[in-house]
Amino acid sequence: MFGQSLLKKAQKGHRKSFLQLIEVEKVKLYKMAYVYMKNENDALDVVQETITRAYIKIESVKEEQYFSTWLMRILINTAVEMLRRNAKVIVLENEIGETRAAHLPIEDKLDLLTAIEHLEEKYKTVIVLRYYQDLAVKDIADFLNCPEGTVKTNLHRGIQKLKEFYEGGKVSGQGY
Amino acid sequence: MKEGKLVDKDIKRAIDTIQVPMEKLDNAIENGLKVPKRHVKPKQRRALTLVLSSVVTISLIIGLGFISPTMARVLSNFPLLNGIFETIDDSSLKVTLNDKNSTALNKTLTSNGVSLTIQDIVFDGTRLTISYLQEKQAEIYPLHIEVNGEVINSSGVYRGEYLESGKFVGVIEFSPTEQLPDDFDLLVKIHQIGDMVVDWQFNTPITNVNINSKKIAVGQKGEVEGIQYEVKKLELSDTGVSLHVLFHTDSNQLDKIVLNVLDDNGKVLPIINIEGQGDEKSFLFEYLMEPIGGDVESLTISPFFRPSIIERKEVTATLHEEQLPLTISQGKMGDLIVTKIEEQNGQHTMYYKLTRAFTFGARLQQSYLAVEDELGNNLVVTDTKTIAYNQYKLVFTKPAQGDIKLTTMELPMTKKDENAQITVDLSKTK
Repeated sequence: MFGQSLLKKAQKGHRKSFLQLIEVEKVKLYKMAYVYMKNENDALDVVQETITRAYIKIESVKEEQYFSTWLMRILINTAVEMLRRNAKVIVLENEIGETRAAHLPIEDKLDLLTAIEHLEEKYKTVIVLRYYQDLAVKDIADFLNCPEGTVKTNLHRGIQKLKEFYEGGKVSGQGY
Repeated sequence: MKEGKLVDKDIKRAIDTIQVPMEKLDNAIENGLKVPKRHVKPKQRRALTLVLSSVVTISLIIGLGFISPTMARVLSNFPLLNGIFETIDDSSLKVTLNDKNSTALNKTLTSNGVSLTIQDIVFDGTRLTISYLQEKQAEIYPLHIEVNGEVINSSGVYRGEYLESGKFVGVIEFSPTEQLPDDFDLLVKIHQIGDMVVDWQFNTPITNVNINSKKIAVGQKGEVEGIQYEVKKLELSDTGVSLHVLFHTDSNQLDKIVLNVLDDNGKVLPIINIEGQGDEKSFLFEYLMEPIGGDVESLTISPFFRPSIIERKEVTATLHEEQLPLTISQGKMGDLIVTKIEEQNGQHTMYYKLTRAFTFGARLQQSYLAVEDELGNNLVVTDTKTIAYNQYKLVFTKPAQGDIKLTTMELPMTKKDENAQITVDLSKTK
């Protein structure tokens, strides 16, 4: 298969093949990074770091079908790591306002994307994996190394929190 | 859409509305490929991930020592806090803060009913550590640190635990990315604590403490599962044991290597931090462990292979205090047995042991145990600590209603590889 041979080539150090694999994923990578980081610069930083880590560890991908999920795992880990680093270590003056804003009460005028961005990390991750990456609950549990029950609970609560912005709306996003 | 029905497709559609700066994205991808060698800073993860993923990620979850004699002196002035050190078993900063150059600040910052007491600050040449006390745990962020008037960049780790008094004691440890001078003026600003926006700051002069570091002979070579490794550095000091090991292998194999360091009594040294750097052919791990006592005659470096888990099998049991001991099978690696529960100040301490004769890590890195309520909420307050050989304890809060669920998993058969061990004699260095 075309994709499979690309993976093998990439694993042998063929840079162009690696780039071709990334080409298919790059838009999704950026959008996922943006959901976590909430701004363009940090999202690009996360993508860059993800690419570096992926390039170094490409040999650990067993089959081409797992490449996308494997890459997404690296991206989420990188984003979460960067968020924690930013939040807990050094915040430059121009970032303080942004961090403060993130902790202000969320007004119900927020659109859905903003609501997703403001979700707690644990809810956000399961929501994007389930509804943007289309992973099954079991796969998310494997992905996050946590019990399926925890995934279901966090999905349910995440959806409930999103629903708070749409009072009266029926939540159908719970199809585990 | 705002008042309408929320469906899966809406979520997908919402994320798809994010505009993509294609040119910048392509540049970021190109830049990502420009780094031939990487320095990977480990990240904080739950214990379960240790079974399945890179050993590099073990590091920060394992934490650091955080109670000091200076702090002990300060806290002993508070009658309510007497006896707290019986509950705290970390040691690395105890030694450090005996130094006269450690700074006992003991300054309480308060606004709108929220307070934070900064206790000790110590700089040992590589780590800047601040210990603090809170009435109730609330995350401290963001922090702004200046050294001699200039902002410094550093990675940080937060650790802490509840004392028997119900207060929370914690430590923030920074590893600056640049070398700091031996003497400097430190300014710390805190902008938020919990959900409360604050405007706190304090400054203090800091002096590098003397950590009495001692380099031990290096160059020892060993082999684990066909992978050659070499000791590049072994240094003992009052603040810790620093060990650098170079593994000659690709990154694919690194995920499986676990390394313990044991003293001559077979006790595993608790790991404070692990960092790694390398390329496709070799990888250097830098381990920082808690300091050893002066009576330790030798250290044994014990790497072994952790088998991959092909199929994850979770095992769940309901915890009933009146029905202990509770035995949960972890498959070929034996049983996990909960022996007793103790309650104090609303916190519950669960004691448990593992039956398999295997040297698990100092904080049980190779196993996994989740304590959750019926809805899957994590109840653990303080992570697992070793109290004796393969005996552990953790602190959890009891849910207002419903059962407490313990979830672990069947572990693959793991064996210690004695042929792979290297023992370093310390007696000649004294």
